[in-house]
Amino acid sequence: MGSIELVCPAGSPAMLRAAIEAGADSVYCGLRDDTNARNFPGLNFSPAELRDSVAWAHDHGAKVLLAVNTFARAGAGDRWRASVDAAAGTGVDAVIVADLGVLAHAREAHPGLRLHLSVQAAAGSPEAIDFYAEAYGVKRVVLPRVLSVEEIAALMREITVETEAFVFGGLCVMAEGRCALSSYVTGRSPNLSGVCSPPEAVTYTEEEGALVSRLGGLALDRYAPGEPAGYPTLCKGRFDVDGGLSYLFEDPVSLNAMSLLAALRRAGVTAVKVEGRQRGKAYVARVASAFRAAIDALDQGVDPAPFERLLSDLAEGGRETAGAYRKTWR
Amino acid sequence: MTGRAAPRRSGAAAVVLMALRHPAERLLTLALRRVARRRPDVFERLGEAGDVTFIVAPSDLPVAFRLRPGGGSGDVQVIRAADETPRAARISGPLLTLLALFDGRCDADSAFFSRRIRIDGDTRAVVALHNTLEAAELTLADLLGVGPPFRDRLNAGLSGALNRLRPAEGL
Amino acid sequence: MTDPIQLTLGPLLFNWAPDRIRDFYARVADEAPVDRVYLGEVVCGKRAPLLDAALADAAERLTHAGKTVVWSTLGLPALRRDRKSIAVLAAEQEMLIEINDISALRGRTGPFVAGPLLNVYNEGAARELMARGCVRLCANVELSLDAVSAVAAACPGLEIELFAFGRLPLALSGRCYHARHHGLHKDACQFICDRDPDGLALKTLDGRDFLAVNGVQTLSHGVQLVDAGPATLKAAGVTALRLSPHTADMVAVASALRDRADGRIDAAELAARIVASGPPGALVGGYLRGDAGLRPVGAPS
Repeated sequence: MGSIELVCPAGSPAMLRAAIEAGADSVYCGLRDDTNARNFPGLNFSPAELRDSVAWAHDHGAKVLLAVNTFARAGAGDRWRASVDAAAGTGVDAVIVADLGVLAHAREAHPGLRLHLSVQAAAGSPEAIDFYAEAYGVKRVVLPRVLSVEEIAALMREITVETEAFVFGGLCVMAEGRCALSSYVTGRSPNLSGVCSPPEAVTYTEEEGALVSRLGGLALDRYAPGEPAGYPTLCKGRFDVDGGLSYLFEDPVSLNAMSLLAALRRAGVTAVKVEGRQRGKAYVARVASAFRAAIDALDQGVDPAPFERLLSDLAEGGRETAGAYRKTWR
Repeated sequence: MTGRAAPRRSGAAAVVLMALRHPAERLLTLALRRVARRRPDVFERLGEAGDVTFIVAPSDLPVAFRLRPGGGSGDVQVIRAADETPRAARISGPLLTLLALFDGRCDADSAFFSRRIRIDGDTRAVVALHNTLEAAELTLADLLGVGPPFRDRLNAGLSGALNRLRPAEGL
Repeated sequence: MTDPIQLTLGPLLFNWAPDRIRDFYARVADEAPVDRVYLGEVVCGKRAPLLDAALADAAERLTHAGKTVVWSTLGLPALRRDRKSIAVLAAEQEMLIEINDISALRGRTGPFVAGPLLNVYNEGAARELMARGCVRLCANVELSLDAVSAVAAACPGLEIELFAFGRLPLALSGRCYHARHHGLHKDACQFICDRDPDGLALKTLDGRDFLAVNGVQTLSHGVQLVDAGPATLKAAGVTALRLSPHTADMVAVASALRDRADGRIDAAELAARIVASGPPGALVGGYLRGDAGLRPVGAPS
């Protein structure tokens, strides 16, 4: 492992192996239910697959982090507690949790299990992070994607836990774990059900020569022939404000903060995280390789910039941004 | 939808292929059921989407494939490209792109964003199928029921053929 | 339980002029049948200096009129001074406060209300907060009435509020959408959110009303209305109904909900009176039924 830990997504055992073979230091994954925030049909691990994958990863010098990062449904907390129990039994290196009740259970029932705080806990200030560290013993916090690099550096001066920052993939512009846009339209959200803009509510229809994407029947964007298309995530839609159409919340771009690796490392970030459990083996192999090369280059004192261009065609809408890391985003 | 200009739906080609479809259907259906027997994990992962009708429509062929995964008793039929089965989940795009998606060589999301493939109908079922194929690491040789050592040679041969056939960048 | 369902007024979410704020709360003090009023800037710390004096005057006026006043913290601290203002409020251990961001819990030993902007979705989380001093929970708007019941049943003694009237708070961001729409940077925003006293409405490409932005906050365009009667509410363990201030006639809204909560009028008459009060959008009620939030009030999906 280099000076920064590279954490990559795994939507399946095959993808986990691809990520690690391509140079990931750690991978994160979920079980096949709504206890994790990528609860897509056909995705994720059975407990047996998790156990085998953890063994394989450890044999290859890599770590596995299990996401139990949604909020337990009222009256059904048993399932989330059971997921944490299952994780503890498979030898995962840490669980990633957001819900206060699930954190309490992990701390009480499995004091030796390393706890990471999910980005869904929306802990973006030193006070919030300290609260979780003191109350539950979390060792690492995944930072909200709304902080700039300067803010991260300032934050790091005031906390003692490790931090993990997203550097590639889908971009979330709202405070995560606190966004109800999806459930307003579809009845399901990352908080309630582990999905944002669920596929069963998505339709693409050809209308007057253009492709219109809809979520729950609401038109979110319209693409001319040949124009790059996007998934109808609500915050990436095009809306009419005062008669003018615009991507009010966020352009349908993806995050690529590779150019900020050096700055993030200087700020004291422990690990960088790639989003995309739902993207597949080809995606994770390319992204992991590129970031592996970039981190290795950084550690050798070489400019990692050339590796950034390797990944542009993977971006939604074909366009990339450094997101909130640069303050101009606001 | 992008795609190389090719005799897509020429009437004569369609008629001939449809007339010859039965052996292809039998082979493909056998292959599907073979996978169901040897890889029950695949169908287990597919879940409810196993009962959906999928239409895989290579945009450069005059015929398409109607697939019903259906556990151990699914089938594959060859249909005309213009066939409109209601409530199906439809995936279309150039044949080589579809093949590359199938064996995980090509990133499906990129192919979709750049409009090389198109999805209609039951989006959730397509997502389930995509995620299942992603996880299953099936190859064409698995479908054809070819065991080792021939399977590896066949896969290597197919990989080589695909690599030579596809355009330089961004399949 | 024979106690009547209480009515509360939630914190004002919008950037209203100080005089408007004073007049509004004076009227509430004199005429609105609400028991408790939450005050404080919840959305954007930049606004606080503009509104502090008016809110302090309002607090005095309301207390004088016999209303309970509870101060609310910011929902998403963005700057160091935001964190400070939260910490200052949290340090008032003797006083009941409303917490809208988890950072306020650090060092808090006194009682508090868990506001609707916290991500509390179940009894496990509620119990964790109760162990730290939470005496009341204003349920997150995504929770169905069934979920609220489950929390209430598992947390005896916890008071529960429901977001009963107003545009639904759906998301908070580090980015200011008012500034973005007007081509400004958040740091030089000129406080243009003050142009939209109910939020800036947006429609979809095909012309449907959908959302409203309020600085860094995204709200529904539709106005939630809880039209359940007293028996249903009590069975679910609900203690109070929260009204979120809008340009609608809030005294009329409060009176209508008071009549409904006391069983004097039915859901249809409630809806009619609420519509007459001038809400900024169509009435919605899907969330409580466990449905998409934008479903119309009263109609099953």
